[in-house]
Amino acid sequence: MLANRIARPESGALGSAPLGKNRVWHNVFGYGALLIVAAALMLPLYWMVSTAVKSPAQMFEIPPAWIPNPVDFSSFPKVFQEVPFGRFLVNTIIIVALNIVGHLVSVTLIAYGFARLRFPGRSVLFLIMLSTLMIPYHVTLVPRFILFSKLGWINTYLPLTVPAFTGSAFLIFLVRQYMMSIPFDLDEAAYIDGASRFGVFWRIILPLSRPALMLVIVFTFVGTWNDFLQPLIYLNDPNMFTVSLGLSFFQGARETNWNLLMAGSLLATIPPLILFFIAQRQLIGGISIEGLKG
Amino acid sequence: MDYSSTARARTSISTQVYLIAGLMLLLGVGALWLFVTGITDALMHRAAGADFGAVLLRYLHVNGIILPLIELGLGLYLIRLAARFLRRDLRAAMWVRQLLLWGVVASTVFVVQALGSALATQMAATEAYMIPVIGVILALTLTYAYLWIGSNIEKFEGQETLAESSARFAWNLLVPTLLVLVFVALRPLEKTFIASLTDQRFAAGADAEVNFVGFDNYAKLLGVRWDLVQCTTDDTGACAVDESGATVFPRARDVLDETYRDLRYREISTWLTLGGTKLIFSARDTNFIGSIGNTLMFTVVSVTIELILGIFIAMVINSKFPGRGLMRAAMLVPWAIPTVVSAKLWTVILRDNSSGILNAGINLIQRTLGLPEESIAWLARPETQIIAMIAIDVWKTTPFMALILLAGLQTIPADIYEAADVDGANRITQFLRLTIPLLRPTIAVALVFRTLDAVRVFDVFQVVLAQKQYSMATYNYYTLTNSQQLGYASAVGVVIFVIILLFTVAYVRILGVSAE
Repeated sequence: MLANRIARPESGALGSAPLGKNRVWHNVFGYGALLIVAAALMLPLYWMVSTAVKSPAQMFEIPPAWIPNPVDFSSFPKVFQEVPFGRFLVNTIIIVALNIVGHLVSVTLIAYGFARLRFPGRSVLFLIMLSTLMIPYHVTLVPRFILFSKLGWINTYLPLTVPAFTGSAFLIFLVRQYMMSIPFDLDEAAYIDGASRFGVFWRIILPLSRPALMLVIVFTFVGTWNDFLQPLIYLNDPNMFTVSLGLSFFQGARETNWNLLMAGSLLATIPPLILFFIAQRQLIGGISIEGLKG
Repeated sequence: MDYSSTARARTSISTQVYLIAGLMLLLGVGALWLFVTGITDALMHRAAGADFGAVLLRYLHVNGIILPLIELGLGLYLIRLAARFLRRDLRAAMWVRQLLLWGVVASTVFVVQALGSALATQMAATEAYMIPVIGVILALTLTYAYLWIGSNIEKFEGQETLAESSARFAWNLLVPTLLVLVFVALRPLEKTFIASLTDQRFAAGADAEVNFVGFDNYAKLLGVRWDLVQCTTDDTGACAVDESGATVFPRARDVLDETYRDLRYREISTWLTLGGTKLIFSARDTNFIGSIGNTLMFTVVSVTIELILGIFIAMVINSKFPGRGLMRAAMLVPWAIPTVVSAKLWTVILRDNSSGILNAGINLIQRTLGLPEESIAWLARPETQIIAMIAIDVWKTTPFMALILLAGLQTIPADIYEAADVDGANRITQFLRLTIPLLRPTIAVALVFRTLDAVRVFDVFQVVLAQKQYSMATYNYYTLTNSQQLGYASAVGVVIFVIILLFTVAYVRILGVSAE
């Protein structure tokens, strides 16, 4: 049965099975390790929050003040007053949305070509594509800028969005690996039933690749959201700036306004956080739902 | 049956076949012509007395490396295709039709772009609109040829197999990406390689002379040597010893052969001391050799830790436990903070004295244990600098690793764990025998991608360490911006590329991320 083969109900190595005597110890150990890792991940984050609400005098106290006193939330509204932060948010969301659409269209099609179709030259093309991941970023920066300025795209969102519609080597690689794990019998069965190549892609491969597509969305979102260098190079008009570029307003040449920088960074982290919260359901067990339906 | 109309139809069909084959032939010969003129031009300059380096540089600047290869390949392919098309080969016809379609797309894009720039520059109407008009005519002609082949496909002989049509379909999907890859990735790489063979300077005037220097930049960059140095002898012929009892050695440049001094070798480290002899390691560019060491150390350690932690986190967020939704989202947060901000944050955490919270934490533990309080200058000492870089990278990138591995866990069927439970395999056996082998393809992706990224590491090093210690990428950046040596910096870029290539080849061999 098709559904059984790929069904993957939520389960894991850490505590989905009924608790036996030795399982309890596994769980104690598991939770302990989990807490340590979580604490290590969270500590710098706590420092961000506390820095955002500290008074300037407390910022560099020795020994450092763990608990801010007094707690001052005025930095958060100030972020919006000092710079057009709301505007930056809207700009970034537009760019991010276009990038996600572009990547979803291009990456899935190209990955499908590499993963499921056989053709002469496939390995060579794939290696050429992978080799682009090996080029130091700064090597391509200047030629890219020259290309886009010849096209007259400087100070527009085109250099930040159009390339997404031609794919990204890393995401193609990722989705291809995922698509290769889908059994080939499914394609063959569909072809026998008279499905076209595009039909197989649209009806079978795409729904079964849902966790990988969620990854494409998450990676594109975070990558574009945090991209600093490209907006810096291609945008001149402060009204068109993105969030990560806008944060640089708080880092002066001589001194950094730590309150506002941390408050702004925290605000900038909220949209990705919401995305993670929504995406985590989709990332897990996406296959089982679709597989059972079909 | 009306014989005359059939006859007329046949002649008109032949005409169109000849026209389309002629077009393909023309394009093929044109491509070959470009290839040949590039070479003859270079040969003529050589005959006129220019030296070899200058001729080669000129050829590379005009033609590059990729373009002549494309011209040659495309030319031969098109001529062969035209011949097969004339023989009414159905498979050739399908490919010609495909090429025509791409031609239509390309000329449409061209027209849109030309119209856009014509409107922008507001040139005199007739001149500005000539180019778009030619483009429109071209697009219409190609569209007609495309439609004609489509409606007369039965006039061609042979049959296309399923494999062949799927090959055509795949090329359709890939061509746009490949074109972009050539322009935004391979072409810059090629330009970098060409620049690395010269002594070009960055932001020099247009009239500045550029010389072909062959592989001199690489020789300087990668020049290393090992030498045996004998100790300084005292009057008795035994090794001299200083106050602390250590054997005294002369400076390497004073005792070794002249090339050591002339090529400006400098000692990096002593590898071995045996009695009165020591083995020293020297390099011409000690900063770059050091940056290779730093980057490799950073890459190996951080990727290993990230992989282990990543698997752990992926398995945790894949399982059911109370509060897992929040945990899953929270674990990914460090990755969502812009690198520039998190790097700045870490400079505060790692500050030298006890105003840095890491040192404050260490002091707190020392005080509780009754030990003397000691702060570590994390960012001032070379050996802790790299540890700090690794810590920041692990903190920031582990969630990313976990996400990739999480997607891989979804492809493992649940019933094999149930079967393993029935067979009485414990969790550790299940993990080692089931999870890890089945996760291998995903681990390969994660490792390849993280390694490629780590070898290119730039922003953390740049923000936190600046010029205290280099990674290969920051060294590349500083040679370009500070010393303006474009040729030399380009050679650095090419060396980074080659090192990453070696990593990738190793991974492909070991982990079997085959292209098949």
